[in-house]
Amino acid sequence: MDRTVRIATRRSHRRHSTLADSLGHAIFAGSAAIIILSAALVYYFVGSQAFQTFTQSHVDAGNFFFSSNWDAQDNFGILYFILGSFSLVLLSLVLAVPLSLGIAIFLSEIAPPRIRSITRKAIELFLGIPSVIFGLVGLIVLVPLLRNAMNFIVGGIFFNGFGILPAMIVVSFMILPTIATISYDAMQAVPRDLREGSYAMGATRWQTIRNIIIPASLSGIMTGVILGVARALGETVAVAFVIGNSQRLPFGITHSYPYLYVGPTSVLTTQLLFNFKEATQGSALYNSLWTICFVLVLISGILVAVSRSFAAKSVYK
Amino acid sequence: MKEKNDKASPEHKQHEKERRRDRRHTALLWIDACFVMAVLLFIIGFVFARGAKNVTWGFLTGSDFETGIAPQLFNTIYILVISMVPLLFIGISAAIYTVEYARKGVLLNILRFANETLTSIPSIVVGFLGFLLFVTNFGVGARWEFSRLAGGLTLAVLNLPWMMRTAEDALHAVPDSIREASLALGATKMQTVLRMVLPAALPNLVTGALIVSGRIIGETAALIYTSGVAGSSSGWFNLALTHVPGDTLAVHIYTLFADNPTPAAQKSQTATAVVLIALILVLNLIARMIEKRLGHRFSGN
Repeated sequence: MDRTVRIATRRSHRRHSTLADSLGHAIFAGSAAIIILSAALVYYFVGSQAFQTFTQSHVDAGNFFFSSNWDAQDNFGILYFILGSFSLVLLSLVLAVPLSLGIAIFLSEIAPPRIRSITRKAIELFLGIPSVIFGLVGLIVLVPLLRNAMNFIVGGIFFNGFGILPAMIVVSFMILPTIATISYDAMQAVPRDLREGSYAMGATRWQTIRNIIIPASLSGIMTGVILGVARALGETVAVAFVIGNSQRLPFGITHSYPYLYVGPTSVLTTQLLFNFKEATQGSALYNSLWTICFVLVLISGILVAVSRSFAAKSVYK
Repeated sequence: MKEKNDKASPEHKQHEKERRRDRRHTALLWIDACFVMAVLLFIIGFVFARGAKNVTWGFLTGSDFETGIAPQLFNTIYILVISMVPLLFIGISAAIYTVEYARKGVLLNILRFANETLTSIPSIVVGFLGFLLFVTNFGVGARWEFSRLAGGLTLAVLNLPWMMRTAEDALHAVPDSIREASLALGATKMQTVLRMVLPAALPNLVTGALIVSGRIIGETAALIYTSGVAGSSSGWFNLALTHVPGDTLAVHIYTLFADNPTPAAQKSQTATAVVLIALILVLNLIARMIEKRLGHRFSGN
């Protein structure tokens, strides 16, 4: 609302302020407060549970973060799961960023109106597909496909197809619509004048995209990529279908042919999912799972702060 | 001037090179778009091709764990209703506050940050919190146990930021002239909001609510440890809010995968996936129809 309306409202508010008005105001403000409160409570509860691993169960913090030994009884080292999560995020970005930026550029600069509207609807639909469906299709289609392809290449039966590879492909298609829509919005916000100026100088469309559109919308693109990272990090069920659930590094070098391990592994979120049902309340396992939650919440909080700073930097909104 | 028109001039060569590069990249972008669309069509097409033949009347109404989904269908709708009640109220009220009342400042910034924080928290963590607060009594003893109320409330927390955001968009789309006219006629702020702004925003609010419903129907990770992976033991039509677990369609697909699936369970898995996707497609379709039919009613154009 602009300033004049606001002043008028305030005056009228003062004149006819009734019980209903102040009650309404209180309810609306209260609802907004509930949202702030929920976010604060998430941090409070996760935080209050998380440190019991070290205070109650006396797990050594150094061992917790820097040991790879996890037997869910006495040893709780989450190093492999952290490395698993990081490689999953990085590898899915490698696939998702070029694909989704391509889609954003296509929608914003290239697609004819009809194709643009169809593609946008399809991307929205992509966002709405539940993660179990992605996981299920990954399990039925991707895992056998990768198993056959990898075994064909090395000539023998060494791989079972589960692990970081199918997880990375599934997750990249899940974060693709997020990155694509936010980047598309950022590209749409670039003023027409800039494009026209570039074309008037004799630039081709690709030169305009590369030299004008992408630099001008870069902070918006970064916001999208970071929110994509947050989604990839937190994805649980789709990954659980294809990750294989094994306490090993996502890939490694072995002593025997084919000298390469790419197979079942674990990430932070699937570790939560698979272990929670065996955890009795108050046990060291239960507490350590909450500490993993805390790590995830902390990282996503940092990602949100970074994405906000990028969004604040963007020139065109 | 003569030199510039010469086909062998360096400028012309450079220009030709750029034009070729432009065509190449345009082609690449078209291929990229077609590829992504093909993947989307493949995912939906594959699930339907595998599972549609197993979606029979007996499957939809049966309540056996491996050959029917009547309890799961019921639980999905029931949990959707439970979570939508607080979601609609709090989400729309909070949006009214930010759009109609709040002034730019620190408070609004905190609210936005809280909203984005809630959006980015992994849903499995929200599920654990639901377990802590609703299923158990802060981790000690039982509160509601695995129940549909616990699941519904957990999903309400998870989707609150999304509901608020779509409601904000809906309110922003209402032109200021409507507010000005109402205030000029002497209406109070509250009357303006309830009688003018909300009705004008209604089509977009409904569209937003339908899209959030799609997210609720598809959610799995947050429900596994709140509403549980088992059905109720006393028949599928059971309205008990607490102490009775209830798995939804999405959770059912996960459970069928997690318990070493038999061939019958695998059949049931893809068939359940067909029903789930069909539900979400229908919701999307209705949302789009409302947007098309009613979206421009109050736009003034």
